[in-house]
Amino acid sequence: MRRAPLAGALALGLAWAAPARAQWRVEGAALVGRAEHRVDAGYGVASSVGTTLGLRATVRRDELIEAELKALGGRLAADSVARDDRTMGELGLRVSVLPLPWLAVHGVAEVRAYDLVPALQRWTTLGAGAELRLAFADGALRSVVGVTLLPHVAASGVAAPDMGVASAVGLRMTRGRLVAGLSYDVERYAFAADPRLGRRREQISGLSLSLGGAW
Amino acid sequence: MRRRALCGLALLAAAALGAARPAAAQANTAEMLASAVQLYEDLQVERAVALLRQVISPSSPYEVSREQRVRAYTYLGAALAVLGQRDSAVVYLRAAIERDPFVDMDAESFSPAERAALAEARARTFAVAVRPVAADTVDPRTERLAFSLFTTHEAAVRAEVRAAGAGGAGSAVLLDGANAGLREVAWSGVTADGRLAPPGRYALVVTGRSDHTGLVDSVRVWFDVAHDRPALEDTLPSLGPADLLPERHPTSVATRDFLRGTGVAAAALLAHTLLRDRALGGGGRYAGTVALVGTAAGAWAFVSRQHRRDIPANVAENRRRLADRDRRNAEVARRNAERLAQTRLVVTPAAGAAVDR
Repeated sequence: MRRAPLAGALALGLAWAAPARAQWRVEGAALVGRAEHRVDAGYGVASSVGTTLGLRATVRRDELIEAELKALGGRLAADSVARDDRTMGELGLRVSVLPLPWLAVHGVAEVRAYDLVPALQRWTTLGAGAELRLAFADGALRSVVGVTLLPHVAASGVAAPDMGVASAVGLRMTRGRLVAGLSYDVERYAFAADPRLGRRREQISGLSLSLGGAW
Repeated sequence: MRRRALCGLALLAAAALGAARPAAAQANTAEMLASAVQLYEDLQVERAVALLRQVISPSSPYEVSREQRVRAYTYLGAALAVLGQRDSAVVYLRAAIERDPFVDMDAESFSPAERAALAEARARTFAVAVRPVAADTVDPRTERLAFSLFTTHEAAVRAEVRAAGAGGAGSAVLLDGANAGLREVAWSGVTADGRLAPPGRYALVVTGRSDHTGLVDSVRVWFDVAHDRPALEDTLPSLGPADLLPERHPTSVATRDFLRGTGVAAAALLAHTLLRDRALGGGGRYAGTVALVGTAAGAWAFVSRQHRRDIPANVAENRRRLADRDRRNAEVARRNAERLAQTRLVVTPAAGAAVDR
């Protein structure tokens, strides 16, 4: 059972490391956006909204394999004085395989921390999904629609959710070396019902704008 | 019964004798002619004259070929000249000249008096002759095809190569002037319009007008011309639609671009509707923003595509392909020109009547 993921990882690594005549593309972008966190822990819906800033680096080889590292952070202001603001930091890695020019299959690993003074809540997610990338306007624009299932979600301080699902829909523009994008992201988690508090609900959605370059 | 058998045998014998006669006739003529020449050379001129008269006699039982008759006339004329019968000698020599203007007497075998008789016969007989064309292969750049023509005495001669049935096209004038006796004229294989003579049948037509008598004579010799050259290459055919890339987007591409842009809008709204927790709400502005931008992008792509349907990369590639084809065809044309320049003329005597008088 353990061997299959190991073999897959080994194959991926060998394919990545294969020498000579590979065509590499590196992209770097700055991210700015708005994030909205909403949670209902049995005490009503609590939301916090704020601006996020981040960086993203993407490396692609031969239009076949892609690795993306993203770091994002920001302060989300609570919607009520009775609730605390939260500082959010996120680090994520996504590795994609592109079997077709318009299809990417990816695996993700993400760590997100919420600094809820005095507590620090850490979320760890692992998931897999797929993304459609359809180019138009002579390749200058690309529509991106992706869905990721998050079967493994661990959150400190709360019972782990049964399942998570995330979606990202947006546009990417390429003009020479300039790369820009706009994306609507939503993540939703389903928790087991608590006999006292009911079912916990939590989601984070946001709009992010990226601007960078490619080499 | 016996009489019938004898009659049949007699008939068979007569038929066999008749079949053997033509073969024997010329052999006998040749024997008589050889005997006459031997007698002449042995200075038994009168006996030679008698034998030669038998050869040319209309009542001779033997067939006489044209060449044998010319030889007989020649020796008869020479013999009569030796016997002092000059007028008769000239008559027979003229008969020989009329049949073969090339007839000649070499100085070793004939005396000055005999040659003088021949000269008088030539002066009084006008004839034009051409030797049959020999098979030859000629490189027109460096070689010439030679023809031998002859006039019995001074005459205005025109020698012209004409293509059969060309109505004047494909001709070349080799000689237009005075001539007396044997002359060689050369032809480069090029017609009057400067082109290499195309393959086909040609005739060398020689026409002469005697300066002495004003009489006109002509002769025609036929020959065939073929071209020998390395095989030519075919040029590349024109590029058809299957060989070229489309240079303009079809109108459906604009629709596709519009759908891909607005598809983002639909996907954003769908993701917001299906994935967000309704109880929690929120996120609608973000989805709406992406939907609005996606729709705008789709509309812009549609309008842009309608105005710019050219595919620059394909246009450039098609131009490259056309230029490449033109370049290759130019190279083929150049190689073909080199091969055409190596064309050699293969000349062969025409089958059938090679010389017409």
